[in-house]
Amino acid sequence: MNALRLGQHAAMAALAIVTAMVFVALYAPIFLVALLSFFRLRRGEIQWDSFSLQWYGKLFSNEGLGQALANSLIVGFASVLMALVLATLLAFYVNARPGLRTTILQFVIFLPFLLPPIITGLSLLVFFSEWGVSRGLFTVSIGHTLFVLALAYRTILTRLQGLSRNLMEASQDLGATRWQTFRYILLPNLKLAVVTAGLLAFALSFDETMITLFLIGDTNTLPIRLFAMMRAGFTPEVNALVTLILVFSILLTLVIARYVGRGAIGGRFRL
Amino acid sequence: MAQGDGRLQIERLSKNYGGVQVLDAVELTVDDGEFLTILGPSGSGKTTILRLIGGFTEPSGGRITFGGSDVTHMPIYRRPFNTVFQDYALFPHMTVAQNVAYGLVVRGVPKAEITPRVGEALAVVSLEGFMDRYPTQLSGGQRQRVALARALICQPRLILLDEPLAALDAELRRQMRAFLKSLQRQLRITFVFVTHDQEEAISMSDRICVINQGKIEQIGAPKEIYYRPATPFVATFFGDNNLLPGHLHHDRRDTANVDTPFGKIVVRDPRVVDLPANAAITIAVRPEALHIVAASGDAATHDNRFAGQVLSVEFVGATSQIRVAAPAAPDHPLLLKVPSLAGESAVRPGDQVTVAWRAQDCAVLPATLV
Ligand SMILES: Nc1ncnc2c1ncn2[C@@H]1O[C@H](COP(=O)(O)OP(=O)(O)OP(=O)(O)O)[C@@H](O)[C@H]1O
Ligand SMILES: [Mg+2]
Repeated sequence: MNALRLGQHAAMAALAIVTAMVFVALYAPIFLVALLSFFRLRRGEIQWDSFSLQWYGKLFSNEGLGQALANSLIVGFASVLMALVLATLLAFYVNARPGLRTTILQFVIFLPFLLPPIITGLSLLVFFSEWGVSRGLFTVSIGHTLFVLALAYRTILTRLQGLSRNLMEASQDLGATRWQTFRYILLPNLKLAVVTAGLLAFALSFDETMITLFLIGDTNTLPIRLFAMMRAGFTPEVNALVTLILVFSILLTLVIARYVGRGAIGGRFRL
Repeated sequence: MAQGDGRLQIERLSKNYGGVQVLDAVELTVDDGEFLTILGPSGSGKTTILRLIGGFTEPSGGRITFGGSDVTHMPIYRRPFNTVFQDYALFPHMTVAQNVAYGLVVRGVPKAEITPRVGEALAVVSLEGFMDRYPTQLSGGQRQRVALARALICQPRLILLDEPLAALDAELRRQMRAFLKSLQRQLRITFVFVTHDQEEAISMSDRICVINQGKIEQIGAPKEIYYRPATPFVATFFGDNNLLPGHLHHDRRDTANVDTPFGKIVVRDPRVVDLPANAAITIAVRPEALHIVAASGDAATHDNRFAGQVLSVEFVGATSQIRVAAPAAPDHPLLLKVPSLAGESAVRPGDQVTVAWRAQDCAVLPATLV
């Protein structure tokens, strides 16, 4: 009896150690980067008395960086908006009439997500230059829209298929027109899925690099700018930038987790 | 809403899905204020009929009129009918009060009028205290009542109910049966009620429409369906029945002699008047109409009798089921149901007994057995 309990304790302890090691391996480098954005490193030791925000200051006085961040946000919002509209329409279409044609359509939607980004980027580049569209934020937004579409589509379609067909029928049965049914029944029930899809799509777009590289031309998004800074030499400025992106990503993840975790659907329907 | 005649008329209604005939030329009339039950086995087309009436599915042929006007292709939201769905289909993101109010809100009824009417509708189903709950916070029976209140508030002329009690447990089902029936009487709304439970159908309906494989087998009052089934299917779908093939022999108004494997049987059924002499028919006799009698006497009360041997006696609770075979038809045993009384049963397998029954307990089906 006692031996058994002892064995259980040992197993639990071993599990805890392994878990801790995985966490350290995953997060230590990230933690280190964050530390190094505040403290100086000398001969492999962190100088604890060297705390300063100078690298953040440098970062904010770096005009190119502000522009890159603004560009990333513009591309993110534009592509998320386009992807959500397209994904919603496609999800409705596929849900309404399943069949061979929609199976093929689904395949086409998923292709840009599944193909290596280098192929997607290159094809789009060829396409745009053939049509004489000059590279810039517009072309990048189109590329990102295609890239995040599959994810947004899948998220919305899953929710749509989960809704009982009876719900729509019940609404019309009670005297609601098609539009009222869409407005009062479908939309509130889809809102959660659309918000989730938007957040996930934004996160994807925000750090997309490969497709962007092909389509960006002579401006910058944040990841591209970061790339360029690294090439010029590894400065603590990069650490500061990475730390900022990290904080932003964590915040975004928290928002997503909160939305998805909350089962209730905050639909507003006034009596 | 239009006053007066609220008769629902279904003419030669059919539906096929990809070449499969699911409904075949259904003819049905439901009177204003009637409680009509559509009864049939699974897959017989009950839900399909309801969906065609409600407008959720387009018919392949035929038409539906209500109060004289054609509603066959009228959009769902303009039909003066409401549906109680089998899974209730309550809106999950709305409270009970919002669910019930929905039909009024989408019609643009002023708010000042909505609030009291929601209160009334919820009072009818005794759920006044549940206004602010969400559907997930209700029991099955409560959800059912919300669905009912949500339909009633629209003041429909006709309510379609698709197996509304199927998901409830036995006790609740009995309560809801009585509640629905009294509600229907009180409000004088036409109910078209779908079920595959024959007890439910018998206890609630003014008339029952029995459907099998997309075809109507019989329409009639519960007693009519029970005592005077029109087809072998109806005779056996409603409880147990003994079916005997035979030929109508001698015709004397509603009484006739029938030649059967058991010999000559006297039947009394008004329907024999319409049948030609010597027609091939089937006789249906309920197991509870058969009695074991003393070998002699009792001739005055029992028109038919035969001697046979008891094959089996089975205790099934309130009744015992006894199988008796006649020497003339050994592979065609008759089933009897007798009340189970304490102590040893009167007969045992192997006993020689005389079975007797009255002529009026024989239903004559104008059809041969297949
Ligand atoms: N959308 C559809 N497509 C193809 N076949 C269908 C469709 N809906 C129903 N059917 C078929 O029509 C027949 C009748 O179905 P229906 O739902 O009316 O049966 P039901 O009497 O309501 O049965 P249950 O008691 O099981 O609910 C079934 O054989 C079913 O498979
Ligand atoms: Mg059904």
